[in-house]
Amino acid sequence: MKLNRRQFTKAAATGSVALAAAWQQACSELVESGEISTKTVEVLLDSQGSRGIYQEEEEFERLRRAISNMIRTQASLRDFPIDDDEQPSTVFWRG
Amino acid sequence: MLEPIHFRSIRELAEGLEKREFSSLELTKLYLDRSQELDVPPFDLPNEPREDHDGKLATMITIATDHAIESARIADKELASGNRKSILHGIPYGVKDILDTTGIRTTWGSRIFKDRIPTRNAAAIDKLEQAGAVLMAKMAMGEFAGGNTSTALNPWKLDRTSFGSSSGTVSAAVAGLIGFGIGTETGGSIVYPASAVGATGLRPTFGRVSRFGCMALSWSLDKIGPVGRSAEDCGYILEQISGFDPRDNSTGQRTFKFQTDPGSMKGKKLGVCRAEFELSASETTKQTFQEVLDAFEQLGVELQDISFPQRPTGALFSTLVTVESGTNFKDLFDSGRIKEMFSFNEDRAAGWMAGRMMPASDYLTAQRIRNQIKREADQLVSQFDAVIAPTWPNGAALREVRNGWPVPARPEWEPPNEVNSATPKLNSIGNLVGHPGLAIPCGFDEDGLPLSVQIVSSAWNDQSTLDFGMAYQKETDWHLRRPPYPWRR
Repeated sequence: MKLNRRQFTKAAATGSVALAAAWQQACSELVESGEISTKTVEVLLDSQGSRGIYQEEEEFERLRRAISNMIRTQASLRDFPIDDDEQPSTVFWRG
Repeated sequence: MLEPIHFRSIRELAEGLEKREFSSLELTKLYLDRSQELDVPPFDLPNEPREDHDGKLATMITIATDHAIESARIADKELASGNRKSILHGIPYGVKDILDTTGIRTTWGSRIFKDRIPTRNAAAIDKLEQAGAVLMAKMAMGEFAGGNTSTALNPWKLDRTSFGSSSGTVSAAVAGLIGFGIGTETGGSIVYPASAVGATGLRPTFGRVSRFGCMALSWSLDKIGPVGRSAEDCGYILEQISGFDPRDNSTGQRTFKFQTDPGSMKGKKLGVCRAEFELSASETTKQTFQEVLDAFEQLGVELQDISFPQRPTGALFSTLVTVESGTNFKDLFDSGRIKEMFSFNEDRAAGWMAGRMMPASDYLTAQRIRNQIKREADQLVSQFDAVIAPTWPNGAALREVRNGWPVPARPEWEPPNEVNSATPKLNSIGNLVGHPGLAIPCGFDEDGLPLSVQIVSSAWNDQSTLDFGMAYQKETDWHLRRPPYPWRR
């Protein structure tokens, strides 16, 4: 289910947004407006642990840019056609 | 005629020790004296990569003088009693400051860990100790194995990058400050700096060398490998540091016994990544690379142009490394110490944090694509004894970094972005799929900077990469060229 910004903010306030949903929200916002909202970055940040240095405005903006870059990079992988039978190299071992 | 002692190969140094031309202690003091003269280390890691160090190379973060002298004395006693442990016995070496060394500080190239003193050895250090090699110095590196931010300078020209991240190790090997070196590679950190300074460096098969005791940048990509002044050097070192280790679940149950004679190359098959040979716009550079192929052809090697399918290798590296680094360095974020990273690395730290946020499904998607590339590359490379491409399209760029990469010294020689990004890179593929890759010097560009080719073989065929390197170095002397001192500015 895709949320608009208001719905997302409301859900975030109740603490019911999972990391994956927040990431997806960030993807949508980037596509739609070209930037990720402050609220979404905060939810992502809180989902992984403490905010740490990213409480500082300058660092927060750096993180916002980094997430944007990561999502743009990720798009090429999400769009890549993978055979249904392809397994991930979760244990990369050459034997 | 033999080289000056400090520039000799491992075999020549071992012969000198065996014939008592010099002792291990004398050899160690020779390298220590050279290091004091030419390489005053940045004991206080600088806030920024310094433009210069008053003409010093700054390849070493810590010189372990007392440890080296004591080890050399022990080696001399053992050698005198006929107890020769290996060909490396008594030879001083430097190791990238990413591998733990008991009682000797290990900084990972970061001032955050400037006082970190491990109480254990990395597996590779233990193996070299068992081989009788003399640990002499911890070598400069890009902070947390980052690509371009080492303090180490390029002895061929001080305004050029020694790249990264094993930059101190390769520069010191070429400058004759150590007998040999140990580096690590995640996506090019042995072969790229080796290319920049004209060293010979080997990225072994993934799983060939235990990473126990080595900082993890990416568990699924990191490799430890040798750096020397020849392919033969790299073979001797690899034999000593390789092998199964239950403490690193990537290691394979295969032993590596180095064969010093490459034998006849006649009829061997070499796949040529032709598109990469065309990337430089410098005719001199292109001609130099072509002469490498000509040399192999004269040896009777059968050449065949090949091309890998275009795959999103850059996005894969970015995803795998940032997610794995972000996971590994969690404590730095939690403690706030991440703020102490060098300012030029702030964007990198933010990338790691973004990696921590990425859903597992995206990480697994990346690993699925990687698996497909592994199968494709295994299938293509297995048709040849080796495949070859320039290690880097041009000679070393400037030390100045912009957008995370060194600024090209000759922009007019750089390939257009659209051509460069559309060209599959042997190095990226080799690293992603775990193939061994050997970087060997093959000439100089018009500015006098070394050029290099990378020879890659199928997984576990490290010997084959070395065979091609040794055969080439028997016919040429590029690996014997030394940067003139005083270093060119």
